[in-house]
Amino acid sequence: MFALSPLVGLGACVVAHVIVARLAPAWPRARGVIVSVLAGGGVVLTLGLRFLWGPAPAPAAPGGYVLAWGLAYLALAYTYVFGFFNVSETARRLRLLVELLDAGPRGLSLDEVLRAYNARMIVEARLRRLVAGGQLALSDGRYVLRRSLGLSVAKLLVGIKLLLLRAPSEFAAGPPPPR
Amino acid sequence: MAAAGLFLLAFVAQAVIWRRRRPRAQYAGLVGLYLGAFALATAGLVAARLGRAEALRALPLAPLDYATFALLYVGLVAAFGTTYSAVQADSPTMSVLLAIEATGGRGLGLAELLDRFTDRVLVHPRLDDLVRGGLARLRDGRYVIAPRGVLFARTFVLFRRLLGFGRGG
Repeated sequence: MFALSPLVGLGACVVAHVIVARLAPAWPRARGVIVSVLAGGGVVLTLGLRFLWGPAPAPAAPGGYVLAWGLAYLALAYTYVFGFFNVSETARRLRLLVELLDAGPRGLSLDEVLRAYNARMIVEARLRRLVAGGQLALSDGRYVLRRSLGLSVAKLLVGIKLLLLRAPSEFAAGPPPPR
Repeated sequence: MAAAGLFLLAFVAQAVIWRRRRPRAQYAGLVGLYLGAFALATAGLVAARLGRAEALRALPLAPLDYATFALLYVGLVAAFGTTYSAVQADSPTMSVLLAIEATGGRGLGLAELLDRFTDRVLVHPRLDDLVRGGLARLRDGRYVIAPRGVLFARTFVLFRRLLGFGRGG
């Protein structure tokens, strides 16, 4: 049962996120996410401490299990935050799918898609977030860098692209080969 | 350790395969590769347990060890798969930051950014992804959502409603 603590923690994280989002809608999104991840982490920690010092006999090196469960929880929480929540916040493919869902069986032409969702909307939304998050500042009508965390992540991703795709961007890599 | 080791091995295999011939359905390829590695490792562990090999005692053979190994491995793969979406498709946020950094402090205005990041760059490839991934179809010049796309979109719409948030993007 204790081995499932990462999953229990993830469940607690998601439940906490829904509660926080409903009770504190004015909170910045990042704050709600952080509180939820900490809540889930607290559950994993509590279960880990029960495993270490509870009534049932613990196996040899029990600290190693608790550490592994903590790491598994962090990996799952990362997946929830960036693979699920952040996808729902920012992913273009998802937003396009939602527009197509609303359009029903008739679908949308390319022009209709772009009227609903286009590059200007995408860029302006990102700039708003980057300025609100302190990564960019608007100075004399030009966007300039402020904090470097986002940029460091961007460079790390470029490194992984170079390793896997042999190119720094999807456009340099080209499309995958046809069937 | 075993989980991290298996993940690293699978990652190296992915790097070798992707550099030679990136699969057309990249996410399906990713899932197949990492799950395949997990299945092979599990089969190996079962064989080791049945063989009661003394030298392999360090492997996760006991139920608690195996459950911990499996969860940590799945967590690492899920986290990597999440990150891979930003590898497979250029994130507009990251691209904007890199473009501004390349100006050496001069910065970029909105018009300059919109000149670089057009519909052709930001939207068309994502529509192609949806069609290539079977989430949408292109029928008589119109994009129509496919059944898998409906399931995917509705899941996230429901999730956003649960949180009380509006449309994303």
